[in-house]
Amino acid sequence: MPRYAELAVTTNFSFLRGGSHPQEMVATADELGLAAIGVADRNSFAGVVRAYGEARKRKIKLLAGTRLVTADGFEVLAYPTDRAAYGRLCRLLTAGNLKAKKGECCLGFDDVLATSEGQMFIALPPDRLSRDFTERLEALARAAPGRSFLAGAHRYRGDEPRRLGHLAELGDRAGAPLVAVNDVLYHAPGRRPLADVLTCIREKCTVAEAGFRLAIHAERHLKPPGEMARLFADFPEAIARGLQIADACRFSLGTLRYEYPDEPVPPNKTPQQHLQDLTWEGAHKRYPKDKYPEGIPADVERRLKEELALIAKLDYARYFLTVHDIVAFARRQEKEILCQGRGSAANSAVCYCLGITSVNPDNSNLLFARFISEKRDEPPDIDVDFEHERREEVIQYIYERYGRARAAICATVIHYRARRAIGEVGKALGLTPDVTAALAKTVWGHGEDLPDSHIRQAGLDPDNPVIRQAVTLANEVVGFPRHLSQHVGGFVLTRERLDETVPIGNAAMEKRTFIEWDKDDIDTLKLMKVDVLALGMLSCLRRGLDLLKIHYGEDRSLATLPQDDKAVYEMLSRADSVGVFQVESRAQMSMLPRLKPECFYDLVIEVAIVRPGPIQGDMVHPYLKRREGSEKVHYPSPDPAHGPADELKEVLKRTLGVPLFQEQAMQIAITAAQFTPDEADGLRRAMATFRHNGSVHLFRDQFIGGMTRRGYERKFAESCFGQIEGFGEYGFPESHAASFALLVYASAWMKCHYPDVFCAAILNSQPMGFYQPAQLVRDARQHGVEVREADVNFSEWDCTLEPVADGAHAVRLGFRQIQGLSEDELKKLVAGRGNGYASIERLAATAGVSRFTIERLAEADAFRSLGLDRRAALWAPRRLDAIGIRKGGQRKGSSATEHSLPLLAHHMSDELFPEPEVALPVMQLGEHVAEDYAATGLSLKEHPVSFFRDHLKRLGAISNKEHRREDLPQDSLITVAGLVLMRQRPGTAKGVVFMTLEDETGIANIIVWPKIFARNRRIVMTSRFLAVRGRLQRAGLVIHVVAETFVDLTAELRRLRDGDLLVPGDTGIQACGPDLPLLKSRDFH
Amino acid sequence: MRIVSVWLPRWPILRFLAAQARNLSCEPVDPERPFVLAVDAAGGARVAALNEAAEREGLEAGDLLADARAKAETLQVHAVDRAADEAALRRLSLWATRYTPIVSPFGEEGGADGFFLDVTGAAHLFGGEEALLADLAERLDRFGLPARLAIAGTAGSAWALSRFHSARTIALPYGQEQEALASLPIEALRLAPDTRKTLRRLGFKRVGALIDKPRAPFAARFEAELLQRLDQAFGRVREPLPLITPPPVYHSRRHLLEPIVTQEAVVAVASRLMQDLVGALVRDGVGARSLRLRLYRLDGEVTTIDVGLAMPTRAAAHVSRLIGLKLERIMQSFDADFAYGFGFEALDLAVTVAERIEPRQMEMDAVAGAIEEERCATLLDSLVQRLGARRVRRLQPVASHLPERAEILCAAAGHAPAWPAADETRPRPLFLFPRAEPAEVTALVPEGPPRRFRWRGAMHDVAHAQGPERIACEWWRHDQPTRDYYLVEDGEGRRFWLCREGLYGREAAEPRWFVHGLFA
Repeated sequence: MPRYAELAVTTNFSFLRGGSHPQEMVATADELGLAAIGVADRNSFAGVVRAYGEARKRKIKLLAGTRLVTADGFEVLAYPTDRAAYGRLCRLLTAGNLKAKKGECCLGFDDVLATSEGQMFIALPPDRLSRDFTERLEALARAAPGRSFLAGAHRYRGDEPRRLGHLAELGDRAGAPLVAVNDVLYHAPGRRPLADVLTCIREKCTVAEAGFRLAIHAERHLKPPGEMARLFADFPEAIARGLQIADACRFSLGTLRYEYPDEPVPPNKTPQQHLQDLTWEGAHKRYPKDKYPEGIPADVERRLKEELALIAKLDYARYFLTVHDIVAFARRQEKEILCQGRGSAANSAVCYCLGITSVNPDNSNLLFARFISEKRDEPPDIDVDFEHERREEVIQYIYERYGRARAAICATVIHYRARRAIGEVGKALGLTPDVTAALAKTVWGHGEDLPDSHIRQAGLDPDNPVIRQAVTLANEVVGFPRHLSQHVGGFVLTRERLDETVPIGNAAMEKRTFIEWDKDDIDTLKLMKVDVLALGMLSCLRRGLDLLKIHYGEDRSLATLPQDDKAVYEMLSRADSVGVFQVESRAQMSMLPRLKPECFYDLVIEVAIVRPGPIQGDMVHPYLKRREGSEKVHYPSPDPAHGPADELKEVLKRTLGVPLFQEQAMQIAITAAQFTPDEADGLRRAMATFRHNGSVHLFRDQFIGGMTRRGYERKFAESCFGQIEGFGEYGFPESHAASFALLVYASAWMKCHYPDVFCAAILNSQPMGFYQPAQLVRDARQHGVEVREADVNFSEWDCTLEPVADGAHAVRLGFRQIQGLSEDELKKLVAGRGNGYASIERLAATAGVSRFTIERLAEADAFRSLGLDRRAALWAPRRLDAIGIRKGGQRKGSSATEHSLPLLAHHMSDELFPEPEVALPVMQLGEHVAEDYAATGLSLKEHPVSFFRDHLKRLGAISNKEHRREDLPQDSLITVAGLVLMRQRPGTAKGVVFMTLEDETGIANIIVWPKIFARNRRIVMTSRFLAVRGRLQRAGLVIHVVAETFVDLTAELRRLRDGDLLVPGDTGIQACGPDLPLLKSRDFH
Repeated sequence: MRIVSVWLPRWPILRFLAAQARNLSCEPVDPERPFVLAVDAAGGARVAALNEAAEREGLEAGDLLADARAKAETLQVHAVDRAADEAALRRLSLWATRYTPIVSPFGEEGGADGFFLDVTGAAHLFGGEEALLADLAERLDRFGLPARLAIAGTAGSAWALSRFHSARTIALPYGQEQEALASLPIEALRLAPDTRKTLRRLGFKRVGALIDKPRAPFAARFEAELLQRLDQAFGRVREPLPLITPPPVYHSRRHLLEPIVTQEAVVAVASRLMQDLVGALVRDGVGARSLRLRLYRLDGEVTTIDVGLAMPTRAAAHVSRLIGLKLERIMQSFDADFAYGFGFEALDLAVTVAERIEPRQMEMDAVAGAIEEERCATLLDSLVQRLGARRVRRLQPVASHLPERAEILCAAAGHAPAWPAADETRPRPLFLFPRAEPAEVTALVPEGPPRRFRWRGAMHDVAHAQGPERIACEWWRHDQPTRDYYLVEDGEGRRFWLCREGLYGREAAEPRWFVHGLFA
């Protein structure tokens, strides 16, 4: 039986070159019976961890290497023989990466030579041998004597024996003997078309144009040892050398040992001791004597002891200390950065005392033991959210404290999705953009397959061979890595140099560096990461808490908000949640009145229940029924022969017997379907990536089979699996829900008791959340908050609070609401304001304020305090050019040197330069409102729809307030109208479109079924102002209108804006469109 | 002054459809369905022009193409071709010089989708202004170009009326500009977009709102453009129209005192005619790519000879030789007529296509290659004149691994193609059979070289074999088995290119063999 080791394998992590996944390569190598496989991608180790995972499973020897390609095109495979040599390669690639821009690596031949210690080098000859190559081969052999080789591949070029013989001779002379390889690009010959298409995508051409750039045959696949032996029958020693190299390389990725950094531990103290000290110190702060006369509650104390014991046992102290160190940095800033931990270990009593989380263990029934598993040798997981505007400070702190050689963000592999795949493959096959666009459009959202029916729907013939080919190839490309990108915030920190563990490269963002491995790779190798994430709501709460302190004298933090406030829960139960974290979406709003949260844990459930997992698993309705009491709580049980009837009770108790959280689904897999913990973990991962490895059905059979065999109802088993599939798209564990629930409570508390503070804080944190400023302001006004317009004499950049009678405050809109202004200039304007500007000329003379800014302010109607409406304010400053105050200032940030007549500047008025009066056309209210929207996205004067009330009455429309009247019977046919605030077509809703209409009295929720949508596609997709006739549907407080017919009123909005111009029957034959977009809706697909 | 403004709404769309009608592409645009022309812009392609069907779908010029596709399910998209639009507009403007020599296409600021005609003092030639407009409209209709026309005392007001007046054609009497324009939107003034926007913001939405306002405040607040456009529209300042000039014509004619009948005489006259043209051609830096010679016979018959050239030329000798070649075939048919004394009394020669010639110093060794190419072109021209363009072809290389697709025959005109250098490691036969011929071959499986083979009835023993060179099919064209090529030499030194089709065990149980070519 011949033996063979393939040492030149290029995977698809050599982007747009390799035609197979690393896992496919390893699996095929194993099936063919290769002795070993060496995976080496271009200047990268990005794919080796995936190959390693597969090789470990299959117990085949894997050589983790890289194909070094120098800037001038010399290619050599490098395989480290030991850990130190691997580290040197990582550092070589890191240096090359940091020299080049993102995604490229700049290596010189000398750099390669300098790294030669401990490497096995296999040089790849170019198509035409040159003196230059020979010289380099000799240099390589001198640098790594006995460890340098020359790769020879059987290319089927017609003169193989001669060519290989020539190479063998060259190798012998140079001291780098011939080694047999096949320079593999794909695992099976059937991938040649795919490899050709990738070439075309890389070269930006079509297959018809690509010519000689395409492969001449399909031979660059993994070949069985027997065939390799036959091809190299004349050079048996070349085959043997490959096996020798494989034997000599003893390095395995499994030997990478992770060590936590020990910076945070002071000298003379063990990490565990330090952690305990910090924890007890924190505990005394959290439970101060004045509020807790008995000291730390006994229950908490017991938990702290248990947790600390577990941490000691698993030796996780340094991990907790590292997270604490980062959080402590945020907390000790002069202006504290608000943060909140979440994740499996975050909701522990220890983390509460360390200040990592603010979820009080005292009033939640969460158990730490659930979050750290003793059995699974897996590092704990804590994500920390920071204020989104200040996270960069935290990131830079981490780089600084641990150094760029020891800290880096991990990568996210960007995969081909169906849309992009069909677009690029179609282009490579020469399909016109029209056809590829039509094909791509049949994929909505993240659906990944292209069934024939969809292709037909797009007006194309699925039997057309080119289309068939495009679809087949695109389906193969889906799931291929495209490029690496940085993860949103996952940091890997190490005690030793990180760049000796994995190459680090530049990110597209300035001052960021990231490693080549993504979070799955890191999991596989059991490295530790801390997620440093950004959360807009934390910025909003920070601002709110600041305002609360300044204007109401209340000094609060997330941990010291009053707990279990009845009014807050009542407000949420009314679905009065515009702006509240996580529960402001329409789906959440319709859930709130049904769930009626009463305590903190209800909020945890509320956050988790409106997610793809529970929805796809049909878990929502059973839970609600049990909560209402209309269905009895019972626990699914196995056949008595297989286990105790209440084996799931412990798992499902908290959620009334209905699995809602990801942890529960995994627990069911282990308890009910008898997965091993490893298998359950494999299942979780397969789900997250199941689109591109197709192993999901194996788990499905095991899961459902396992449960039904043990006597569970098939239906229950199937819906549990459906839920897991849903989690695959967006996993949502209880531990995260608990942390989010705290922010739900905090934002709801603020909205409930200080709507003015909340309104100002959330406006100052835009863009965030679900609603636009117009809706946030409208909501605040409905809650009795006075909102005042932005004005040059009163506003600041941010929205501010102005005291009104009886201690309350009004919100003064800030200049930030006005689109297109520069913060710097406006700060100068505020600084130069003194006791207020008396005239527009004086304002214009302020240093650093450009005419562009003045015009924007005028368009936003911000000169009312000077007695000027927007037209007058627009008219006046235009003259300033002519009388010499400023020239040019069209652009932002024009400098102060533009004053040409400084002495006269303050006297530039009509007295000195009189001019004839020009009567400007009077602006109607409707025009003002339209202009308000154009400039600031909202109007405090009037709602645009109110101007069309008569028109709407003629159409038979009732106001949105009226449509909520209780005496309207269910299913009655009504017409409502309004501006389109939002359109959504969620993936979980099977093609249903949800729309929200707003008029001057409130909002109306519209449901469009797919059939109706298909008939009215254009109107539904594009209109901004719409009347909808449909059936009223009421379920408790939730009211929907199920659309039947539509009237598109978008054109009417133009009338509002044009005032007098385009009244019906006008002679103007062309709508000479104003160039500004009016009232854009937010669309979510 | 009387100025006609001709506005061609949706000009790029109409121009595209007209071009399509002349040159049917494989997938013609259906004008009844939504169709847009797109232009590349920062942030992605945008809609530059659209047809009525697209407008009905709610699309607008300036939309992002991606958004437009979301709105209209099956949108037809092509790239806008500004250069072609402009060239077509120029051609149409030239055509319009049939009414008056003063024609001026709209510039960019005017929309580049129409033209002005200055018909001052010319309208009576066409039966008055109304009749002229009617005639112009009817002719444009026949071209498939429905236009909107206005005639007025100034270019500015004619432009405004053609765009914004409700009637398709209008003739505005003298002095009524102010009344007529007052109710039109300020867009009728040909202002820059920024100025328009500001005016609208200030509430000036119609031209009338500006008419009786004092000038100074506006002069202080706006670019000079605003008052200038107003004054132009109302005839307070003159607006010179940039004239369109027709392309140069290279044309020369001779009337002869005595009719000529012999081929030599005709060629001699034609040669002189060409020499007459050379001066103009040199002046403009161009040469003739195509010529037309007309021969006027005493009895009124006219004979036309068209001559095409491989490269632009100014050489009279070359041209006259080509004419001579053509004449040879034609003259015989005239012999009978000449017998009655009907010779040619006049000849004229026109350059129908002129192309740029790069100036070059003659008779220097450095340009020997170029001269070689010129000589080759001269030979090609002679062959083409004698045999017809479709009969003279040459081989061109194609970048394909498949030997039978690696070259293609195409028309001989133009520059010689560059051939890649031969690769001595991959020999190609001197003679490649158009169709590979089946052979019976004895060889070892799976990939052994041929031992002996029978071809065209004769048995050959293989003395030497080299290979295989493996070439797989072009999978995107059709699915064929992979081929293994061998260069073999038989006992008598004859060399063959043998090919085995189908990989043993993978593609075919029993591979087939062919002889695909012969070496010397």
